[in-house]
Amino acid sequence: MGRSKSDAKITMKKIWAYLKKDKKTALALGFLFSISLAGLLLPFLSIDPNNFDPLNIQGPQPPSWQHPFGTDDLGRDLLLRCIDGARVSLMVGLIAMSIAMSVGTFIGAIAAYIGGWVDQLLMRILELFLAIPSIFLILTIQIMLKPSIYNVMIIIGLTSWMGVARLVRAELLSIKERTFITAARARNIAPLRLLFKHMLPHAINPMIVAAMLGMGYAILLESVLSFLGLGVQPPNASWGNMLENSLAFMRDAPWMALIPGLLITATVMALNYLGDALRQAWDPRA
Amino acid sequence: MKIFILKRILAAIPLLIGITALSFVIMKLAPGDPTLIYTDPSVSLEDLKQVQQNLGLDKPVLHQYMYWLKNMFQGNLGYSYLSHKPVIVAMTERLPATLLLATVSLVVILALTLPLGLISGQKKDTLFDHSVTFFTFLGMSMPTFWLGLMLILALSLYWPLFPSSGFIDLSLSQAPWPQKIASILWHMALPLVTMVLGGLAALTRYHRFGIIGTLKQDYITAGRGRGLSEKRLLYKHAFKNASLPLVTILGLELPGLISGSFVIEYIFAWPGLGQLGVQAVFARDYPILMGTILFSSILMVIGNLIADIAYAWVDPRVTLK
Repeated sequence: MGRSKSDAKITMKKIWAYLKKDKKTALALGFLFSISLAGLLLPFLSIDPNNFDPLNIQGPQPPSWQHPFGTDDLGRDLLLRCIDGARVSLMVGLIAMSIAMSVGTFIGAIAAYIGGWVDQLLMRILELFLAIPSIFLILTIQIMLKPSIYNVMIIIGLTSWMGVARLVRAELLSIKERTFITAARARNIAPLRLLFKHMLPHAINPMIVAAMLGMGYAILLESVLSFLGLGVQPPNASWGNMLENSLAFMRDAPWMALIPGLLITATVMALNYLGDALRQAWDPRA
Repeated sequence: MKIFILKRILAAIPLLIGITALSFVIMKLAPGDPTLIYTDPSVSLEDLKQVQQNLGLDKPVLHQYMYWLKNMFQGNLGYSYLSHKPVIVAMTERLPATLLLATVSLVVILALTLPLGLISGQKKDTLFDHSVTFFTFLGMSMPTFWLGLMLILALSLYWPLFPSSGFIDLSLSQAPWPQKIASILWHMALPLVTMVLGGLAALTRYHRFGIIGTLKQDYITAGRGRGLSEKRLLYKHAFKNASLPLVTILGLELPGLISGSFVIEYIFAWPGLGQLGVQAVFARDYPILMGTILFSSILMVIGNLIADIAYAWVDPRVTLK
């Protein structure tokens, strides 16, 4: 493993050099870092984002010095709710993406490693999942289960692993034939060890890029679900359900619809830029 | 070629059966009794049982699915629990609106993607390229439903230029057809812009990569060496080859354009299949939902097939087996 560690060092150096040059990516990283930090710190500040300002209870108030993002229909401060929503949306994105990555890696690795009819069967199942319009599937399951933040994570994860599985399978299939794997096989290394310690690390770069894009996708899906009332439930704030809440006040309080959407867009865009930058750092052809 | 198409269609049948079986089981596992929507709230328990029996809902799931499958092959998809119309009729009513929106947006997307991707690929790392890249990233990162909301907010509530929902002015039922078409187009403006901005991004990015990759090919360098003008190289030699992957992507996007438009149709109250499907989910109208899923799956199979055939057609090196 000594060699791959020094590889990782070189890659980190490359990424750092890239960040210094590419201000957009640095900005994306900074943005993601600050909203995560704000979201994580909020619970420790003993401010309840569900608290309403008794002086402002007469409907939504436009942005002011006191409430930089304005307040919602119940007089709750939107800046606090957006920060609270950041934690929820990022957590849903992160966990849903992790589920998708684990399932995808597992299925892709099994398919590539065992091959034969197992591969065939798994690929047919994958096609099945790809073919069902996932949004109907997600909506149906979400109606069937109680809408909750955990169900949202699980469902998004379990319906978006297919891309990762294909990627891992393709990467492993090309690695499988290389000499160092044949050598490892000849040394009688246990199959699981061979798979996880010798084969998968070589596919890690495209997997990390896929994880970035997958997290953005999960955040977008969460916002759709919550917007339709099937995701994160009030009084908890998520960017999606804040948008749902804004619908009734579109005419009088446009800031309620504008700000959470801008935050979703900025977050997903930052993730996409980051994924793209990583791809360029690792694959100069792109 | 004919054998290839036939083979692919035959191979699609088990896939379609798998899709419908999986969706059917998931729906049946859902709690909530659709008969409660089907009947009056004051119905007696015996009558409710009778309705369940009539709909076959007291039978085991496998039995119900086989029954659905048998009817499906005979062209009967059942009746909507909500409107009591045959599913086929309910869906055919909704098809024109969806097809209209999908086709027009596809044409507009193509008309914008080809030049945008071409210029931004050729002028890589210029201001133009950077702005195109920025907007494609923006398009990929924006929740489409929010984009729709913002358009309604700006162009329908703030400056009332376009209607925020619907398909046609209902007062126009007696009007001559040019007026009707104008009204439909006017209603379509906002959903169309939403669909186009959402769908444009990925394709443009893809086409840009295609152009950049093609311009690096040896035959382009060779052409340059032979003194061909850059314009000729770009439009005559690179453009065609770089467009090849787009054909595949388009075939794969075809079903997405329809099933992907569901939130857009929902937001703009556009009377298409997507809106029907979302309403069916909320109302637990299983026959309609099964019909919608079947339709989008068939569309996906057709889209894949078209992509393969088109690919072989534009690239003679590819043979279909």
